[in-house]
Amino acid sequence: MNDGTAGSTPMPVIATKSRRPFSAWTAYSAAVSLILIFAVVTPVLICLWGSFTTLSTMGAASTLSGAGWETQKSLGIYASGARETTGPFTLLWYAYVFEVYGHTIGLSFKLAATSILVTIVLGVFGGYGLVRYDFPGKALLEEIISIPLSLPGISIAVALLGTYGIIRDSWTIILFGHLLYTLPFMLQSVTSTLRSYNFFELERAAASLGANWFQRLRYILLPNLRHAIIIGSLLVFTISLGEFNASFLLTTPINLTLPASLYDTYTNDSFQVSSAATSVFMLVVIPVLMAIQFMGGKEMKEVGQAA
Amino acid sequence: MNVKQNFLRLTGIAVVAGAMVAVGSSSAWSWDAAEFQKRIEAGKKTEGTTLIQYDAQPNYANWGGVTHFFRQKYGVRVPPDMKGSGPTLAALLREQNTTVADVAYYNALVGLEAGEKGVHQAYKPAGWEKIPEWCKDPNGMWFCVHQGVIGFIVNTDALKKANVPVPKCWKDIVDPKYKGLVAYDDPTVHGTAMEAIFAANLGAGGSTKDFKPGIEYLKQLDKNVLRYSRDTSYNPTLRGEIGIWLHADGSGYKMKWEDKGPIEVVIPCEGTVSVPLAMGLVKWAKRPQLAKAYLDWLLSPEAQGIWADSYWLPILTEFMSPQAKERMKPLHGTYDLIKSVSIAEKRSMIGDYRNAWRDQIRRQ
Amino acid sequence: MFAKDRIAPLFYILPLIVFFMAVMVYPFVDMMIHGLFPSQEMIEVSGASEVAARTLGWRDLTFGNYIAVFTDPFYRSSLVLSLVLSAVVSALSIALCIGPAWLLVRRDFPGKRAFRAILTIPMAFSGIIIGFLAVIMIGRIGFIPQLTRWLVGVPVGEALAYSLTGLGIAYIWFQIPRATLTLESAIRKFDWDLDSAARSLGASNWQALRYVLLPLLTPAIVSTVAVTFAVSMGSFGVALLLLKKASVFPLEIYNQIYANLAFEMAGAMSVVLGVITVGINYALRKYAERYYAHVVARG
Repeated sequence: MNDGTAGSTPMPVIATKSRRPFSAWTAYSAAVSLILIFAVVTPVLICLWGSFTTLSTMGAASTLSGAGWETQKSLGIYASGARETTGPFTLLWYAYVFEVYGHTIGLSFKLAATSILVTIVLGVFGGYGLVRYDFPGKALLEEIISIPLSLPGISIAVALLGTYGIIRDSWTIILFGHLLYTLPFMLQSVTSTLRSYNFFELERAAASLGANWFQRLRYILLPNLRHAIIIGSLLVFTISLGEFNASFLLTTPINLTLPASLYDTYTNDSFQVSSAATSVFMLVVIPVLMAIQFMGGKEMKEVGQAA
Repeated sequence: MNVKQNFLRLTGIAVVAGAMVAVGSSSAWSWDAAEFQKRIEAGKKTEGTTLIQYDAQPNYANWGGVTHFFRQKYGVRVPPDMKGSGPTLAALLREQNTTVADVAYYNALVGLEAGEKGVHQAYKPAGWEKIPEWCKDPNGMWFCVHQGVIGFIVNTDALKKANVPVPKCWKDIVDPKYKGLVAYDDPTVHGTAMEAIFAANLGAGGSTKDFKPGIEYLKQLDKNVLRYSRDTSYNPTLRGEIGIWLHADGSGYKMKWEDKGPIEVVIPCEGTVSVPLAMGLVKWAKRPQLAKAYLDWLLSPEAQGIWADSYWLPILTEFMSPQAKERMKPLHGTYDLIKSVSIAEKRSMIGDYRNAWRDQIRRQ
Repeated sequence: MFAKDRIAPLFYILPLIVFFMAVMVYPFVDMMIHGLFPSQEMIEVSGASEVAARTLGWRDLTFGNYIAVFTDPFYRSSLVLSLVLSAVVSALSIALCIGPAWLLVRRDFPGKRAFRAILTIPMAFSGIIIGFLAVIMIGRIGFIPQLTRWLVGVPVGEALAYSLTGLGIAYIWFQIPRATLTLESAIRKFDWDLDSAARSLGASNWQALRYVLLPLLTPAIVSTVAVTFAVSMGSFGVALLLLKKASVFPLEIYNQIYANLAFEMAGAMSVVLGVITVGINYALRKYAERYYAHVVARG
């Protein structure tokens, strides 16, 4: 942008605040906004409430008999009504979720952590190469990189099952799907930072002063990319944790991710247990999301794949 | 019903213990719990503490309770798996030697097919001789573990809201007043649903050679059907989202007496069929030692007793506790309505029947 | 400049290329080719022997699967449903979110940051969670029917979640953050001086809207549609939980794998879905870019 190369976008004009008085349009917008807030917040709150309640609500009994849970006292096959034992609120549902689906939380975290590591390596080096150099086929590569943003998860799951069926029982096949959907975001984060300021002149100056490649990497590239890497990592974490469309076909009863296990709870367990499982997910992901927002992640709007 | 109160006072152990005492003295094969424990420990050392069963839905035949008991007592985890009979077979056929499954559970019709298609290995568990002939493969490819009966699982609250009476017969539910209240699982996918449409055919006047009356009946019924579930409709029925679920009775009784839902189980007056359910040892099982022990255990007084108390008829009925027998008597006793049809007879017809259903009812 | 300038790009880019080749391009092409093999059904219909007993050779390759996607009413109807649903949802999301987006840019109010943060919440959830939340809100015994029954005696939206309308509502709920943020950042780039200039020259509100704002807004809308359309087309989790009678295309793919042995058919369908979705997304994005360059940047 500063080097005046062709194709740079015009400097954005800072939008001035409207000086018009409170118009009908503003009233309408405000009303719609309130409805949206209500629509977004209410289901989340109900879910959180459901995760603690012992009320027999949503038509399903509040007992944990939906999955043969026993009380600690006896090896009776079904639990008696939780309401009789613990009052209006209980942590039983969470305890159950952790006992039966705890390993899925572990796997999801493992996948997310691995995704973060791999995308940092691929993203930093790849992003550097994409911004720094011109080479034949660069435009094509950039298009290919952006395909996962719109590619349906189930398509790639079918493709991966076909090609990598041999490693079907390993968690790495799920990792492939996650990496495919998270890498473009790390790349975006890195490249937009690299593009936005005079990074290469710094590098050139350092090189002329005798810094070798590794020193340039360590003292110039990485420190300046720190913010981009952090935001990218949070994005990768969120996407990986929530990935369902591709993961669902790739999971096996041994390797079950958290969202896939949520599907099990929705079809098999009571509203309370489902809410507890969902709340676990929400309580992990929503704070990360807020963190990205407040750190100024503009890339959020393109998180494409989670439906 | 006093039956309910009786049950609630009992713990699983008491039931099982009683059954063991009743049985131990009478049968040729006796269950040796200590010996079994040793086998499991040996298996765990070499094969780990997880065993994979395809189709282990917690709410179906109380697999949740059975697997939980197994885990608590022997330390081996069998995680839930939501595949129905059809998808289980499809998965095994597709995955072949990359499969993670060790054992598979299906409706006996599909189990028969699985054995023929070569995804099982032969294994005759301890207690094999006591399984009735009609419910096992002579070569040991599959064997039944329990059975249910097809009936209407009715949510009386939902029906009350819709102002309709509880149906008694197959011909009742095609009445337009039940519109939007009926559901059954997709019979191209779920074994129990295959039995349900089979029973509907018999109820509509068809036979084991002719399913045309069945198709006509189901086409009529389709107007009242809310959905053909891919996954289980247990929760929706309990919640009242579905009014009448055509399914196995055991699930209904569990909803009624354990989940305390407003549920009635109705055996249709024209007749019904039984739902035999079978297990097989997967050919490419990666944990064969544990798998074999597990299959043996499923025929043990412990597991069979749990099923008896979960309102499913165990295949080795001698392991039913007297209390369970008492409780089941009025339920299964009135079941002269169960038409006696062999698995082979059902099997000969079900393939084409399913395809006809798919082409004429699901695909329009 | 640096020495070794020719090899250097390769050093940085090669891992990327290898990754995308291995994880996306090759499996996709592989799937495309497998889609050319006849599925079990096709073999049975043509009277040939069981697949298990016979290995398929090059002579058996056929476009039958791909053709069936477009000609067999069963598959075609689910494809059409996906397309129509995605288009409608995209249009409605934009119409719904343009107000709040405008507010975020042009007005200051307390709690604005929290407002934007709240609106991004749906983005964290995957499809099945959204399905579950839809059942909570507008299922047969959902919150809204129960609330309205308690307030006015009539349950509004009972069992809405299981209809196509309910599915659409769930999709729109999921698109709220995406639509709002994309529109917001586009509106933020407006040159409001153009608007004031037009008005000072005597343009009425309507004329300003039509000749200034709408052209400015079009690339933003088109690129938002590009994203929301693609996401809706690929959406699987929501439909898995909610749709019980009708079927959208990704759900049909799942059925083919889950219940049948028709892996080839599923592969062919996946190829079609991928190509259509990515293709439409690409076309819309390019259109938005060119529109922006030709119409907007020239003032």
